[in-house]
Amino acid sequence: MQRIYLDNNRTTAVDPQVLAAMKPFLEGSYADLHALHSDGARSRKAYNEALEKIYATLHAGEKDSVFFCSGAAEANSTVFYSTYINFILSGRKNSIIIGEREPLSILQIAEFLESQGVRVHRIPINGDGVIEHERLLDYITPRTALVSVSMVDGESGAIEPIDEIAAICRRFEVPLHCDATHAVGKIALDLQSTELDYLTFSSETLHAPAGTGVLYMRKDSELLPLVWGGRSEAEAYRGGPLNIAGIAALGKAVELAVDSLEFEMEDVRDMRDMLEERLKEIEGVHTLVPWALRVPNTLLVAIEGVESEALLYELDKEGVSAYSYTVYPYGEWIRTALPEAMGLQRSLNHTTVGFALSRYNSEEEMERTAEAVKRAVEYLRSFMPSKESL
Amino acid sequence: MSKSEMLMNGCWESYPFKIEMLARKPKNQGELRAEDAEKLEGELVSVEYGSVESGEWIRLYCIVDSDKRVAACRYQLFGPPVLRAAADMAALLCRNKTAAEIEKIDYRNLEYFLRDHPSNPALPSNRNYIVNFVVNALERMVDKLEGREREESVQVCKCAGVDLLTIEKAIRDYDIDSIGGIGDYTKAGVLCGRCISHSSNAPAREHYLEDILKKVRKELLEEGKAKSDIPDKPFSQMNLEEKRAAIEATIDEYIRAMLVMDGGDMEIIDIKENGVNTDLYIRYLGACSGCASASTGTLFAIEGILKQKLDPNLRVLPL
Repeated sequence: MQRIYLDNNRTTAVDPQVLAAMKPFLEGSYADLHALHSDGARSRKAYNEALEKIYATLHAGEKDSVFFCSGAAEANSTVFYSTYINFILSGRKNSIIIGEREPLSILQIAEFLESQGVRVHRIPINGDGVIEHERLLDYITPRTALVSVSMVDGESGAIEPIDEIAAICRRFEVPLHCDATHAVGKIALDLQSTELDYLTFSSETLHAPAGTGVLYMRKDSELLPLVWGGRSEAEAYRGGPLNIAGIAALGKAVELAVDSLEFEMEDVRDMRDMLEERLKEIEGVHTLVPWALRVPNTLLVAIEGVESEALLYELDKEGVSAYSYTVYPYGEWIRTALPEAMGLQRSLNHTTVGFALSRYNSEEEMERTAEAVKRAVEYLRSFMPSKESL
Repeated sequence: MSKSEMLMNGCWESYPFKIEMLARKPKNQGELRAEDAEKLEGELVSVEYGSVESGEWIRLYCIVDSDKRVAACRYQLFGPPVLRAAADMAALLCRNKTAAEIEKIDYRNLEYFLRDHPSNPALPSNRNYIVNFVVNALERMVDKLEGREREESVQVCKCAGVDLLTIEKAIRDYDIDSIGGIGDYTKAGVLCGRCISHSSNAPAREHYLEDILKKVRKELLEEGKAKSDIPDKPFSQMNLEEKRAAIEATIDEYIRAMLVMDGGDMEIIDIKENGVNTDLYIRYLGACSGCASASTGTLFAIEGILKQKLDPNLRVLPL
């Protein structure tokens, strides 16, 4: 039985075209970016092409910089450390504002900086699972060193109001950082209209192998490298030889994702909606985050009386790979579970299961998934007393 | 961090076969009703433990017959597959036991029964709390069967719904000496982490794990000093009285529980020194006396444990 992979907000299958783009650097010899010989020229060509593609797809300005690193986690860390050393240690600024449900790389470094005496404010989410951008005004001052909000929440797929947040940041002249790992290739992204200072994303959600990330920086922004040892502009903020195969793959992957954004995401949305409709037929299923505020590929549900890990276990037996952030110790538990943070009943805290689709899924798979969920829910609820006797 | 911690073990694929089988095909789940109790001419008792809000909830049902033995035991639950496996094993073990016998099912026995191989722990340490959860539920069951009132306790970890008494008991029972250890055995402090220690940007609480750990460790240290009647010297240099105390302690800790689980027991009749060897004369009690394995497997197991824990020159002779 073919397995159904619905964990695409974490890693995705490598696209054959992406594989073809990186293959020349995996088979046989490949050269360092700074090698003068012809093999080096081949690497430089691939690097330049990938860079062009990323500038083009992000609509980045000519004077902005884009550089490669090992992933969004490293890029995020670079931005935070650099802000800490450049702005906070020097006494120019004193606080950082982050969203409440950022990825772990940001939450952990924020917690660390907090332990170093930095004031960290967290903007809460509202009942729709989206950041309340007005609350940013409660915390922001001209002395704020950085505002960091993800463009899309990787757990729920909620699209954050980045344009509104960017406008507030402009008003106070505070740099804004966005982790766009779950946004690239899912929603339209134009850095000419959305004014960000830093943008980071990873390769693994774009049908490329994990291990490559991008850090975009608007012109005139300040940054210090986290990993030292760069020999040229390309390595200025991240030392060590670059992963040319990964960069070639990421360039191709970004191009494919953005080129096909319109029609492929429509297909994915249709499949997701079909699954959503089918799951809603089951009693006691709550979809978190309203349809209009969610990226096309994500569906997060809370199912009354069904524990997340138990459901994942049953689905796994049926060949369906789904995800949940609430399974201790393997989930990414973020202070409070999403249902509680959204103001829903606490009994839903341990019942969330997510399905993240990609262009490789099919309608037939959605049908099978819905059937599998139905069977699993029925089975797992047989372990619980009926609602009346609880 | 050590290699064993660095290895990615402890997810579904590395669970023992036994846990997998129990999680896939549990046999004792379901509800027991008054009709069932009538049919078995017994009394229906049920207890609840945990909560859906904190991720684990269980309701145990028992029917106690006229001999005060559990004639049937079932459960309903909300929780991960491992909890299902542990609860199913616990329900199986409770059958045909009296409350006093159920009380002897502790963490060590239950975990042991979930193992595939006696020397491989059933679960990674960060999932110990699941077995402990079932043991706590059984404790409440025993209290109810014996008609004991449970002491009220304040909740310390709100996310996982763990109270003060449970944490103190875990620190004592499992000799926990770190905050991580408390999380492993009770799940307290692992989710939001606000109950670990006081931090300036959260409202103050009555209890923090750090303080509880410090307090209980201090108490344990004082008790340990008062209690240590087993001298701290090699077994071969002990006198007969000291040897008897050391053997009794080892049997209590490592052997008796396993015999009791099968309805048996043992007693020491005599200890004699025989040159370099120490001969231990024992008598089997209950189901062990007359059991075919009493002179083979069980005997070798007893002797093996004593040899390993105390002295290789120890011989066990059943009478």
